[in-house]
Amino acid sequence: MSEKEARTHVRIDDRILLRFRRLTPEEFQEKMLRYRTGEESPWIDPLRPPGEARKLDYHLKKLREKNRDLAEVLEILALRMDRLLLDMKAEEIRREFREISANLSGAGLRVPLGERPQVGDLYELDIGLLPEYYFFRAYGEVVRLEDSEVAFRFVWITEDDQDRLVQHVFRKQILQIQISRRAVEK
Amino acid sequence: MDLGTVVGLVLGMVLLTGSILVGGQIGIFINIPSLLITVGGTIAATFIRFSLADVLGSVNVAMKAFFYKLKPPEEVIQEIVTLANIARREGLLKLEKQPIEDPFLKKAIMFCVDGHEADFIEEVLSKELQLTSQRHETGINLFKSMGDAAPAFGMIGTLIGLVQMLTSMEDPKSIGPAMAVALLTTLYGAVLANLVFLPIADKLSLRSEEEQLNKKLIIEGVLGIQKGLNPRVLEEVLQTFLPPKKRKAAEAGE
Repeated sequence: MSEKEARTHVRIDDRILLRFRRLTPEEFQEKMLRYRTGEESPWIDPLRPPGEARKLDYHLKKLREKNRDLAEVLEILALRMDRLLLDMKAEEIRREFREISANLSGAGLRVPLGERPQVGDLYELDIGLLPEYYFFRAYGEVVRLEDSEVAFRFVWITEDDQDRLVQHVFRKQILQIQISRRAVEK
Repeated sequence: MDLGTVVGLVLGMVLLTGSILVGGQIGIFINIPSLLITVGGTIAATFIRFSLADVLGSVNVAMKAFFYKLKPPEEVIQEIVTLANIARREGLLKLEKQPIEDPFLKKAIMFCVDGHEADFIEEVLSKELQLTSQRHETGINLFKSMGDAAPAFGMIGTLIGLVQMLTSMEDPKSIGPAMAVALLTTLYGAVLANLVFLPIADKLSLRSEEEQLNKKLIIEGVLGIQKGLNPRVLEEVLQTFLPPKKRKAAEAGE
């Protein structure tokens, strides 16, 4: 990121699952129209129907206020069930997605794409956040090419997915801070 | 400085003095032995009920009712939302350099910066909130008990006066003035309880509630910041802590 660009979201280095496809501007517009009219859904998560994660968070939060232990246990059970479902879908996910290193933020990402696009090109980016295996679709515009990496700025992402992505970044940030702190203590 | 407390106290004194002056001389309402029985007895009972440290610290506690000005919750919410925006843009570590006046908020933010888990942050801050509330409760109870003791000692003073009066009934002319003096302690007790001790206890109780609300906002807000909640969503969540009227005012302020 250049000094002149105003940063809107904190960035972290992470491992993600990625599936991508280059689009023409016309294809992108067509996609947007289909989403707006409801002919197509941007939802790609193989485990959770749209909005389910947020709904689960909401109810768990309410339950935590009344019975913290029960809420914690149910959350653990939900995660375990997710893992079982993931094992069933593992082959499909491995076939379609690549696990790669990425520099990630709520506003975009930088990844070794394996191809050399032009600045301004549009891509359909299907991203899986690890280890929770939360999948979402976003559309990114190539803003920079850095050595073997391509930097994307999201031009379209649902607010739910962006919030989820930011929360994932924060979670990773805390883990990185904990690791740094432990290293300093040693 | 809390003007309400000062205005109330001064107004009460002025009205009482004014009404006394309209009815006659103020001198007849001043009696040192009666004052000693009421004030001294109240202080003595308080020493018995509470620890020495609590009683000696009661002056500082009372000062809270006069001089302690708490930050309005709307401002606390705005500060938290500002911090949430900074964290979202620059990362949690950037919060370390932010100038934060409130020590409780500063402590909560430092927990985030140190990378502590949400459960730990919530547990520690909630414990601190609980202990603060208990400390406040002691101060409130101290003034409430003074409010109970003052009229009781006023009555004791009146009884002492009546006993003294009834033992020397030779001169019927002296009965009236002696009775008046005897009743003064009841007046002192009632005034001290209803104009000083009980209102201060209620004001401290209000202060405590306000402080607890701010601390609850900080706990909820910092947990939201640590989680990476959208600042707009976080603001909406925090607004639910405010009464509807204040909520509207805060939205209008934006």
